[in-house]
Amino acid sequence: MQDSLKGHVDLLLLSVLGEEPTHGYGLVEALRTRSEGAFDLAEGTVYPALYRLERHGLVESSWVDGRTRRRRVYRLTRKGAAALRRERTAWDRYVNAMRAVLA
Amino acid sequence: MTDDFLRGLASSLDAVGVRGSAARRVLLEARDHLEEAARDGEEDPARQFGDPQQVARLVAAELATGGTRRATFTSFGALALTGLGYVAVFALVPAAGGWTDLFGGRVAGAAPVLALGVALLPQIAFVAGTLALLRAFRMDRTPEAGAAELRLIRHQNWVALGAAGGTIAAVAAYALDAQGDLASWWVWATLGLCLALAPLLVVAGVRVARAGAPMAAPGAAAGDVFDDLDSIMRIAPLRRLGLPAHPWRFALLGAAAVGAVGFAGGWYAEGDPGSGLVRGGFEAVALVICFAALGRTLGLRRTKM
Repeated sequence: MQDSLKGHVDLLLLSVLGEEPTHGYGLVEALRTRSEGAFDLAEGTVYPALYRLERHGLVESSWVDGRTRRRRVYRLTRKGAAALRRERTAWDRYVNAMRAVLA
Repeated sequence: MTDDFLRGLASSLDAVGVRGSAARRVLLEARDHLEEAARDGEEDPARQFGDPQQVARLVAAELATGGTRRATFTSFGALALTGLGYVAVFALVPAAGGWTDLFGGRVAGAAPVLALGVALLPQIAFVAGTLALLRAFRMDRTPEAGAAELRLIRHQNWVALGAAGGTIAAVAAYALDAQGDLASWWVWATLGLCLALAPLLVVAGVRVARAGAPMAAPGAAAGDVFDDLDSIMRIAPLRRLGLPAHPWRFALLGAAAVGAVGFAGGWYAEGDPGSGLVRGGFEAVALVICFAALGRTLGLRRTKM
């Protein structure tokens, strides 16, 4: 499960950020909760993935002052939202095709 | 516990060349992450975060890719401004008194160096800079680039910036040599422009050097220009030429093309075909020599494995 997850981390991160801007730990928690514990990443590897999404212009981030400390909050860009829509459609097509073959 | 982990992460980041503000950002985010996880009652947040060496390697690979890409854009920006300055300087020559004989300057022996600097180096800078830019755009669609590819892009940038630096030095030398023959406003404006452009090239060079600090992922071989131009190389007439397997064919075709342009330009400018032949021949031979000397450094042909 964890190996096949690696190729889809970008889509998963974009999907969580599509709901609301959040920080690194928030992303990991959302992934874990939504997948009911199935997607349990090495949490530190989320950050290089976020940096990559930033490089591609799909995500942007800024420091936000919290109650006790500053934290880096990530949000989807317009380009990221478009990429998410595109990737979701491609993923749905893939899943439907797999289901049709495996049924 | 958190502090111990962060110390380990800091030294892992340092070991793979992630330092300064980039390292501070990673460490701040890691601290925030670990403290939040501890507050949530997560068992052993440091273990959940992962192996610090692995995290550091992934961060370094990403920063190496992003940094090299950004440095290439900075480099190309500096090259573009240098190119504009170059064109502006020579466009104003007629207004400043007209063309002087490049080979008739006052410093004996300077002519061949000036000719090389003024005519050849800008072309090298343009080709090398364009190749680097092509790669940088291609990287936009890829995950982390490998070490060999990033090294190739940095070499392309170095050659481009070095050639551009040589160009402005040659232009400044030409301006000094032309004192008395051309209007003094042109001489001073040219020298001022060269002085203004030099720091831009230095800044771009520093960014390219810094981009090489983080350790890139091992990755595959860097490939060559034919990988960059893959979609063009699939066009039927080009595909039949088999250029990727025979890069010297590519060089000779290029030499023939620039030779023809040089011939036409020389004939038009000087009004006689003999001058066109000299100029076209010079351009064609220069291209072949540059291909032999810089072909591998610039990724015009593959490095032998």
